[in-house]
Amino acid sequence: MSLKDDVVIVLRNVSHRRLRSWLTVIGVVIGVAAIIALVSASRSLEASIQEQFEAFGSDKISIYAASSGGPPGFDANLNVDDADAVRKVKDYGLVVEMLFKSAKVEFRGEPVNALISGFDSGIAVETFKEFNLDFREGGPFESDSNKVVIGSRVADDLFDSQLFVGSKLEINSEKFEVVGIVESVGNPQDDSNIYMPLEVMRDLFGDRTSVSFIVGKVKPGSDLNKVSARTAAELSRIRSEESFEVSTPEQLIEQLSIILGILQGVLAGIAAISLLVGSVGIANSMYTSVLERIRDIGIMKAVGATNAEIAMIFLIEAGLIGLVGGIIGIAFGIGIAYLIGFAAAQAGFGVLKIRIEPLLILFSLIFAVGVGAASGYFPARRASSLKPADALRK
Amino acid sequence: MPGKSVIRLENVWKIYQMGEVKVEALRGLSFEVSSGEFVAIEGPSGSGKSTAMNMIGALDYPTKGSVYLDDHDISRLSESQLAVIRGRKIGFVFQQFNLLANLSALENVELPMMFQGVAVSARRERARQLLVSVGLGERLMHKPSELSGGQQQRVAIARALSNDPEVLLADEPTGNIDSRTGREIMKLIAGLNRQGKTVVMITHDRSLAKLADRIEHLKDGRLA
Repeated sequence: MSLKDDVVIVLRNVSHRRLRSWLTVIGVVIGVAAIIALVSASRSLEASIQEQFEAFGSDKISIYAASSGGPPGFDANLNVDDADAVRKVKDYGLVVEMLFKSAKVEFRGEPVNALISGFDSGIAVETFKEFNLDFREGGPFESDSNKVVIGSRVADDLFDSQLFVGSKLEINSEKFEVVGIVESVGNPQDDSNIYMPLEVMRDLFGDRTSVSFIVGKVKPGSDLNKVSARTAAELSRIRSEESFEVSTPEQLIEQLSIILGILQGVLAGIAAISLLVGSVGIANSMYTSVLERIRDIGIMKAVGATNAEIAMIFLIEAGLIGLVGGIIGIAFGIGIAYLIGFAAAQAGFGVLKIRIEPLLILFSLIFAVGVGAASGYFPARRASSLKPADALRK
Repeated sequence: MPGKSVIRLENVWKIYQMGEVKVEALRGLSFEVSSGEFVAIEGPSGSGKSTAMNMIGALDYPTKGSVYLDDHDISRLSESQLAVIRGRKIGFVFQQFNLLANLSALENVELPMMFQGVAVSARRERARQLLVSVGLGERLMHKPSELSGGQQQRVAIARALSNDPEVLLADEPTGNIDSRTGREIMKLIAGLNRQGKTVVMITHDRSLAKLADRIEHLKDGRLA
């Protein structure tokens, strides 16, 4: 019996039990779609975050207070002496000390809470450039006056009315003028920032000493790890060893990868469970299909079908269900992944760019067909080993 | 004039284990069919007719004794070897028609040729001719459920002839159809025998058995 004949017989069988066949296919679709969507989304998330780090630059060293678990910088345990110590370390081209504070911000009588970031107005132009903050309107503040640069969400979403360059804000009851609006970087936290000159911010909050975060850009050609070690050594002289962290971009990515790895593991687990349920569905459907068709098997054996030919028919049927389910599942999975990306963008996480890996598609397809064939194998073998006299009696 | 031996059963026993009870369906059945014969095996229900049919048609293994087809002992062959023999040498006509419900009449007739690896164009043409010869030239694409009982049995006969087997083995071929259509089916089978086909028919109906050249009476698992 040729493969083509097998396929014809299988197609007749499948279309004869159309509803059951489709229900089985749906089981595979759910499993495969879950794998494609979840794995793609989590891997895209990882890649997107990595990209943001790369945009931040591979030549920057981050210094922050050893945190008790919160996001880096918010413990504000560093101070201006630490920043001065970092400035003394050899091979830094630019050192930016930053202060983060939450404040009440009012625009046209509407108060909201927002995050204020301050850095030295003397190096504001370079700082915006190094942080990859491009201006869609206006430009950076260049002197210690009541001027702010706002993130795109502050301009567009934070208040009922739209803000422009020239808009007047009240921060902690003091008047500020918007001089620049930066383009969205794709995550709502950064896009909701308000930037102001550090000196103005220290006056505004009455805080002359705190530093939240220090970023050092090393000179071209310098060894990042050596500079990082020198920085740590310098800080150790004036602080206790455990009270600060000095991280190179690689170390930051590593730390992040652990968290993302856990996330991916959980998502892959969910996807695997879905596929498992799908394969139990195929196995069940194939098993009942065999039971229902014992008489047909007897007929085919009576007219000359060998055990191998019968087994092949059922195996192809199961594999075909896997293949069809796999293809539809991949299409759905890709759709869902892009939907996740779209939803993320709507929620402000435009940074999440969905990418589908061809290898994942290939793997899912092979897996779907494999699961189908495997769960069809045992019923097929059972079916084929029946004696025709017994099968015909059913 | 009888030709060479086509089927020979020698002291065939078939014992089924039904729970604690052993049922002796065949008890030393010996029996021979020669080429070109039309033999009827007649007997009441419970006489072992179906079991005898399974032995003659190589659908089951005897518990004891031997079954010869063309003077080859087939009772020790493997399942797959038997399948090949069934496909080539025996054409079955069952009481229940036993057509595949999801295949058309044409495809049902093609099926045995598929398993013998006959090329599509050749087998389709042969299937078409066979269906025309049993009077179903207009019903090629119909599914069994769209055919009457008599028409289904004609399809089954065409299927049984598709690989040009040595023996046509018919088990109560008119048992599920009305008597008038039954007579037509019997006419068809008798006609095939006149054209040279060896026919073995199993029936409980004495009037049908009379159409055969030779009647063997089966009683309690052996010939009476």
